Amino acid sequence: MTVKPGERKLPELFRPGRIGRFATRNLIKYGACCVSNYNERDGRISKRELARTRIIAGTGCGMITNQGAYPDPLGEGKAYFRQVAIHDDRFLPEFEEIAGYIHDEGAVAIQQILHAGRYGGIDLGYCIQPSIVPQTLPHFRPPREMSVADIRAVVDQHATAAKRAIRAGFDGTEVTSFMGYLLANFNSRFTNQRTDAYGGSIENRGRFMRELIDGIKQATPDHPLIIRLNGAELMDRWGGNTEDECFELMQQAVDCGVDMISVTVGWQEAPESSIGRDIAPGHWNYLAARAKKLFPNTLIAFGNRLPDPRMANECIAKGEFDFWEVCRPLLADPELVHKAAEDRLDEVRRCVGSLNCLSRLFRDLPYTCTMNPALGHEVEPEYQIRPAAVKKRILVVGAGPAGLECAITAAKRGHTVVVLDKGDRIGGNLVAYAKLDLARSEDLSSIVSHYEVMTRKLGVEIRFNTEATPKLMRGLLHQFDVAVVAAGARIDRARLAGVEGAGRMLDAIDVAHGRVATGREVVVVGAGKIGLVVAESLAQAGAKVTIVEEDKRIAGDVMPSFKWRHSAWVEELGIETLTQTRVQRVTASGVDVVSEKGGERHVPADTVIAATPRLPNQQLFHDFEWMIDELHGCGDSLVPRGLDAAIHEGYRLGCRL
Amino acid sequence: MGAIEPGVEPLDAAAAGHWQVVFDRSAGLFAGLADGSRMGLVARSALGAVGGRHAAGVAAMLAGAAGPRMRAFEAREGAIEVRESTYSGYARAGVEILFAVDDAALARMRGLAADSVLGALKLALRTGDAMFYVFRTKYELQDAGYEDFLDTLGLAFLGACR
Ligand SMILES: Cc1cc2nc3c(=O)[nH]c(=O)nc-3n(C[C@H](O)[C@H](O)[C@H](O)COP(=O)(O)O)c2cc1C
Ligand code: SF4
Repeated sequence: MTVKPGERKLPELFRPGRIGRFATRNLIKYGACCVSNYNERDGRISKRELARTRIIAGTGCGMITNQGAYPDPLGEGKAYFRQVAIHDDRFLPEFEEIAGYIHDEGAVAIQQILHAGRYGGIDLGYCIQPSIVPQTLPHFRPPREMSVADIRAVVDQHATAAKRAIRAGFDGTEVTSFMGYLLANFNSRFTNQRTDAYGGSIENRGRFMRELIDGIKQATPDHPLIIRLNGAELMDRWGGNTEDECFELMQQAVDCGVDMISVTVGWQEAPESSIGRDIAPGHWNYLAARAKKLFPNTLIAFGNRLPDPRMANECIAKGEFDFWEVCRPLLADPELVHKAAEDRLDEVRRCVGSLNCLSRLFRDLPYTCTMNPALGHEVEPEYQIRPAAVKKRILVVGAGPAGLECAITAAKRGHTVVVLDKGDRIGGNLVAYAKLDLARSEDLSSIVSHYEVMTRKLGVEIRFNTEATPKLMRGLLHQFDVAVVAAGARIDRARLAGVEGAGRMLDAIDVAHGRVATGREVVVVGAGKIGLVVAESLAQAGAKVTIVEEDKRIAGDVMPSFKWRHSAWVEELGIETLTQTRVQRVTASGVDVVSEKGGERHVPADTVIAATPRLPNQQLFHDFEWMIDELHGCGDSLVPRGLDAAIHEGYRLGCRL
Repeated sequence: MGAIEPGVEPLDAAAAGHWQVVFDRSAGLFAGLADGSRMGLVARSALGAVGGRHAAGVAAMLAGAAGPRMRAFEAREGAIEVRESTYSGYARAGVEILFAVDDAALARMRGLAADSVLGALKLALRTGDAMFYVFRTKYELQDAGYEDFLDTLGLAFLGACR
């Protein structure tokens, strides 16, 4: 077999491996990242899911873990609205199909069995737990304590499910305690407060896990069993396990003869981040390294918030773990492993840690990915990049994410694309926000770099410092078949018309781009994401910042899973927030505000920034209406929203032009 | 203010008055709360929510020992009334939301101006000095009008892998 150029550069990652009696072609494991909410409500795998798993099978990973399926007929183990079930033979045909896809692609097939415990019973009025410890997140169900008979039944259900998976053609199985599921509930001091043989000492708390391992091993003796265990729960301050205890529990699993430990981090309800954008890639690698050091004879898989194959290659070289377990990076770019093998890493669409995927699962919606608009739409032609039947000349106005996504998608289909932008570089406002972002600037700027690389490789022409106007368009008449307006949005200054001295206010977008200077005492009017990003970055740089917001709450337009992060930053940075408050007057010394209850106050400031809601830039729709054959729009210039909508709409439009 | 007795949320009139002012100052957050909605606050040490001690606490309660005292915050006509109550286990707490706060954090809150107490509670929740339990589903809590308050405390209203 010929070695590809990227494989030579990442020799550890692309080295063949082995689990039990099964050989893997490389040391990359597709992590169980596939609870998708695409399936039937009774747990049967849907056509949409099958199409998705076909893509997963083709990712090039040496080992592929199929989504966590719940093992019990009642659904006490069911965590997600449309989660897959494996408690009955009637589900076998689809599992067989998936195992077939994985084998066809030359990978080892692992089926995960996921009993959600504390986070389960999603269709029931309760969940089951080792002890009655109420929920801290209202999404989940009130608890019922498991009897010893219940425990035995659940162990049996797991063993039967494992047998079923093997009958369907899977090579091995995996059980998971990721993010606080049943296994984690027994292991944890927080949720296991039993006084019988299953609670109390760490030996007793680990009994359920040991019985689970024994049960599955006896049911499927010739097949590997993988266990996902927390290296850190991040629950210790609430009475959960310490990191040391987590490793003691791993020791118990090793002593029971598991074939691989997949090290994970965090619980759903943990008060801190584990895999969000504010966690630097590689942050948790030390947990895997500790596991490898303690258990040199057991395979260790790891990958939480480790999105870069180069870093993974290095970790394997240093002996920190044996398999790179990837999840979200392969949602964002299913071609990641192939691009790495072909030395085309510059073309990778990186997972930016936005957690749009998981946020949607908790709204009982199918998951989607900010960076991969085709995810979950694999059977729909409207989402496929196919050669265009008629090759067109396309003019895109605006080099932000919506315009560029549309441009590269259309170019991939064979169209000729020219992009105009009034600025002198691509990325639009995203460049500015990326620079100011406190979470991880590199994540957002990687999107801009991706567009830089792809427009270059696809021959998309970009004309900078060129404002699209009717005059310019008249000069371009008949040179293009299609125009796409992706001109973004602007701060709606008209909303401030009633404010005396509004002319003194700076525009948040100008501030974000660094086009205007700001002082030491700043008032930001508007606490949506733009206002917050600007306020936080100025406070970080040492300014005293106050936010004034008419609404009851800040971060109204921020994704649910990231609102808390902004609230925390605002607090940590000492930013004062005046909600349900309006600006009346801007003067040389600051702003006069009035609260909903009528309380008036002067807030001293040398800089006042308008970050009120945005207005779409739609004038060009009217200007160009009679000048071009096809006129379309996408992104914020239709309705101001955010990055997800921009990328997804740009892509969908690019697919159908 | 009286000294803090370990494990017991001080229930003297001054402390109750302090909490009443806290809620009165933030009345806007509770204006939409359905009448009869109730939250509880107990000292975490008394609750036995510390790993390994919960079962003993429950057993003692079932055996008839007096439960720890609980401060109850009850919604009435758009405002919160602070009352005294007894905490008798999760199942019978009679509250929708329960805060279990470390003694030191409770003492800190008592020393703060009323305007700063909810901010301190929020911080305590973030740092793990306070725990938070819910006894209703998110839809029930939303219907009861809790969303603003929970959001202000920075609590993810939905399950959140983060
Ligand atoms: C949409 C989604 C679904 C997931 N489903 C599962 C699952 O079924 N079982 C599991 O153990 N972990 C699941 N995970 C966790 C991942 O396997 C992984 O541990 C986590 O995303 C961190 O790794 P990453 O940084 O590579 O994404 C899921 C994660 C995501 C984002
Ligand atoms: S939605 Fe965000 S976090 Fe999830 S895979 Fe896509 S880019 Fe990564």
